[in-house]
Amino acid sequence: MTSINSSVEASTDSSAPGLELRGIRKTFGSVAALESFDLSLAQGEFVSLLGPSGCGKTTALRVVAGFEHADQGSVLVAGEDISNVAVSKRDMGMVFQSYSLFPHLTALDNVAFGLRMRKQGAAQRRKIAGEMLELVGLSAHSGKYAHQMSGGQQQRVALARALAISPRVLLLDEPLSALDAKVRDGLRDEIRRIQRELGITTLFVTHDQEEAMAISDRVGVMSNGRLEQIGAPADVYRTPKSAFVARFVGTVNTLEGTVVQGGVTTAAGFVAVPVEGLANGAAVKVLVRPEAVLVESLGAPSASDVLTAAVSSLSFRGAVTRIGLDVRGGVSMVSDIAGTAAERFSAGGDVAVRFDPSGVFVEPA
Amino acid sequence: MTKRQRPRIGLALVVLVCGAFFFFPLFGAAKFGFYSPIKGLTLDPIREVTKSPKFSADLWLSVRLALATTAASLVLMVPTLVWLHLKVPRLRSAAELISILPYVVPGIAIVAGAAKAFRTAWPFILVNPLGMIPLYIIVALPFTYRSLDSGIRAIDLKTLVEASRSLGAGWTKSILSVVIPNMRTAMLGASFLTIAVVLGEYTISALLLHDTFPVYLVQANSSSPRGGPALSLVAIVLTWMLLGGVSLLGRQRKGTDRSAAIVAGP
Repeated sequence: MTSINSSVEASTDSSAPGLELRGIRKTFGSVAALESFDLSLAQGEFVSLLGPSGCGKTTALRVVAGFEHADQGSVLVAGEDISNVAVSKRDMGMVFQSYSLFPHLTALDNVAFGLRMRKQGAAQRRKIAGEMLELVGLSAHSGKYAHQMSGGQQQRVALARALAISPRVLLLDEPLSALDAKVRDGLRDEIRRIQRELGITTLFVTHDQEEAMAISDRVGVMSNGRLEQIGAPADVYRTPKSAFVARFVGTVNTLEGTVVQGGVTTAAGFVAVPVEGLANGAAVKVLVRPEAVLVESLGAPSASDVLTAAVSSLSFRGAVTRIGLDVRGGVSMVSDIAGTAAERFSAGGDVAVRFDPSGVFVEPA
Repeated sequence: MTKRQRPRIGLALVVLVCGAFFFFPLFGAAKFGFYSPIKGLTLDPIREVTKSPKFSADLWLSVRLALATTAASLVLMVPTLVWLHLKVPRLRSAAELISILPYVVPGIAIVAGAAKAFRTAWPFILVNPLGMIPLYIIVALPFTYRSLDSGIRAIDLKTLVEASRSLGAGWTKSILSVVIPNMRTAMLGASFLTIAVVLGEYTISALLLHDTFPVYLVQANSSSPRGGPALSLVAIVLTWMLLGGVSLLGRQRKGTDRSAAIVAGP
């Protein structure tokens, strides 16, 4: 592995970001896929771009790879402007969403392909390709063709192939989306392990928020060609900058209401939430994470911020139990309760509901 | 009779009727060409029409034209179709429409048009037999286009080319190293059809006064009543054998290519 690490280190300027996109604008006809898009990845950082279909995340990745040319702005790798560099000269390792192994080549030959394009000797190609297959745990499958491998194995080989060329940046375009859940989780962890091991700057595109949160140093949430928020997964989850981010990263309950002294009046009742900076009478949306919806047995000491609700459903989800709640005023909510605490509730029973302020966000409507 | 058996019997019936329709004329030609009431089964008619030195010259010209047309068609069509699929997919339906024009434009019109257009500018196209290659490419276009187009549709061309380019291959390398090896079957199909079209094409060569194999066949039919059908039958069988041979070669090459490891290559 030394050859790969040393190559990556040699090609980078340690003071400059590993990857930088400055003021990128990209339009397709009259549709702006990216608008004033800025993004900076530290060297060796793993950043995920997360967003709904059509938000521009794949376009951003393709602009970095060179498959799309930005109308405005520039792409820099370790301080070097590569905006006008041909795709084949960019030294980007890329793993695609669809299976992209060359069907006429074995796994070993696929991994060696990029090295052959770089005119490396046969012995060196064999050595590095073998090392890469070992890295992804597929040494035993080196002689297999794509049609003889499972989807997970094919994506592992594609990852090995992308890494074999000692890329300056690793680009992952939803590489796990075609895989089943178990394989996806395994490969996700493996990608992260390998990325950390090799210290390669990595840009990962996904629409799966759980995947992005689990794997990334930072997560960027995109909407309509712009970066809505970027930060550490926990920060984006706990302190979303907008209702869109809150909804996209995790689940939220939404209550519409009006700001009053010390909280918000909603159809379900008064909710004590922080309303600093919001004028009394302003229409707002209160967003509450399911784990911040605290369910208690009815009969506990009443308080002004306690709502009453009927349990509509209980769904066991392993580590948590999701409780469906019909709150007064026709409001439906869900609450995630960890451990066995949910066992004391049953469908149809009445309960008291409070909110943990750390999981509540108030947005002007 | 079960519901499953009914379609099979229907299919067998269709194959039988079509087979009879196809093979009866061949059987008739064989009987007429190779059977004499006096000598019984004989090869004399075929010996008679093939003893002329003109036969081998005309046949060799047709073979050269077939091979050159096939090569030129593939060189022109593969990159064009790749470009069409990757860069301007919206023009695919227009290109498909254009590709079927040679079906509806008769050979005589193509020759008349070529004669009018090239007589003064490029008389070579009309005078030199190899000048027929561009015309043959046009005549074979409906077949080559469809075969190659279906081959491209069968692979994820965009992803494969992008993967190849991201790994350091330029456009030419990507086409040579990734696209062509994965379109082998489609290219072989296109080759078969082009060879068959050129070996059987009569109108263009006759009108341009070039003596190709089909022209010789027609002349043989008029000069040797038994030799003509006999030679036609032999030509059909040889064409089948040629196509079969190319197909077999393709299969063998596929096996060889798969074992030819990139890591061990140059």
